[in-house]
Amino acid sequence: MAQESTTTEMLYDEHHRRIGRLCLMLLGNPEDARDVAQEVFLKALQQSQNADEPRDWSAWLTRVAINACHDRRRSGWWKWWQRDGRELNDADLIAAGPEEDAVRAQQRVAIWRGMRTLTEGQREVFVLRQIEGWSTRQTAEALNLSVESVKLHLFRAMRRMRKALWSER
Amino acid sequence: MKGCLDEDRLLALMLTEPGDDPTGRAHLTRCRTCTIAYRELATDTKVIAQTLNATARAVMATPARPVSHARGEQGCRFRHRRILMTGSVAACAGALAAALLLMLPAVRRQIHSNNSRSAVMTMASNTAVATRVSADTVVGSGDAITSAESPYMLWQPYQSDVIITDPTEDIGYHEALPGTSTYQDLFFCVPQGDDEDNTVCTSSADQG
Repeated sequence: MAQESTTTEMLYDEHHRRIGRLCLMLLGNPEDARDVAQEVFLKALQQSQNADEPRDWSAWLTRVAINACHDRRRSGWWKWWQRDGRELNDADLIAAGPEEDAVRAQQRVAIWRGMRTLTEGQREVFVLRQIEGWSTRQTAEALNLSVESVKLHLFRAMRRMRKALWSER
Repeated sequence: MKGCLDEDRLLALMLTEPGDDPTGRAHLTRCRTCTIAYRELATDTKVIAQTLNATARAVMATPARPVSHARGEQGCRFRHRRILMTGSVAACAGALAAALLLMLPAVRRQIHSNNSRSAVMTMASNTAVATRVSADTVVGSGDAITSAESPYMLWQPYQSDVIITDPTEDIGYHEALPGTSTYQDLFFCVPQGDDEDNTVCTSSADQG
């Protein structure tokens, strides 16, 4: 039991920042991202008590985080709640960097706005491929999509993101 | 390959695995313009990923704010307003449902009385038609005083107030017309002396 909690603690220390960022990118909301990240590590604790521990905890955590975000986005109350503007707003984004760097602040806002325009599938593929650095095949397996679908989602996501970036320049 | 690769092709090249699209990659190694465009694309991609990562890191590093201030004052107001609106709508709906439940017996009674009234109206209109026709049959034979013109006639299913006073014929009489009520009474009015106001009328029902 002590060893299990040590494993979970180690996992938490090693991955919680990355999982939090991933959830934030997928949900666009810091409070929800923290909630979902907590859920993910609770599941990790439960999983560590099982006999069949995953070989690659990093990939397992990422997959669980993606599914948890997916579930959160699909839940009815989340949609209802989001209509009140709970998502990360421009002021939060500008405040997320040094005050003197106005150009970069505008760029941040533009990029996160672009992120909001992506569909759920595009967002998931983009985050896994471009942020997490997964291969097309790994992404396809994790998201239960075909390789061609992953390529298409990524292509469209990148086009939109570049458009958002260039809208600011 | 002739000509340079367009932006979409370059993007597709950048996003695909290293072994994909060998023709495009071969062109890329030879064409200086395409190489520059490809590098620009790669820079954009890198900027996007770095910006997203850095912002997410900064946002997540900020300690979680209390729930009541997490969305700023405006967010809280919106949320409370939404709750208030939902509550008001629910209260209105409840009040409406309660009022309907309370009014239901009264509504039933009203419907019942409307049905009865419409039956009386039908009967009365039939009678009114009959009265007019009856009055026409005695045109020219004296004064025909009918209550068909009276608005109250509509509420009287009987034709008992058809009074015919014709001094020349002494007795006014008309038969029940086909289609009129079987309850129709006929009055026999006999003037007493020269005074027309002093007339004695007897119902056909009284005479058998």
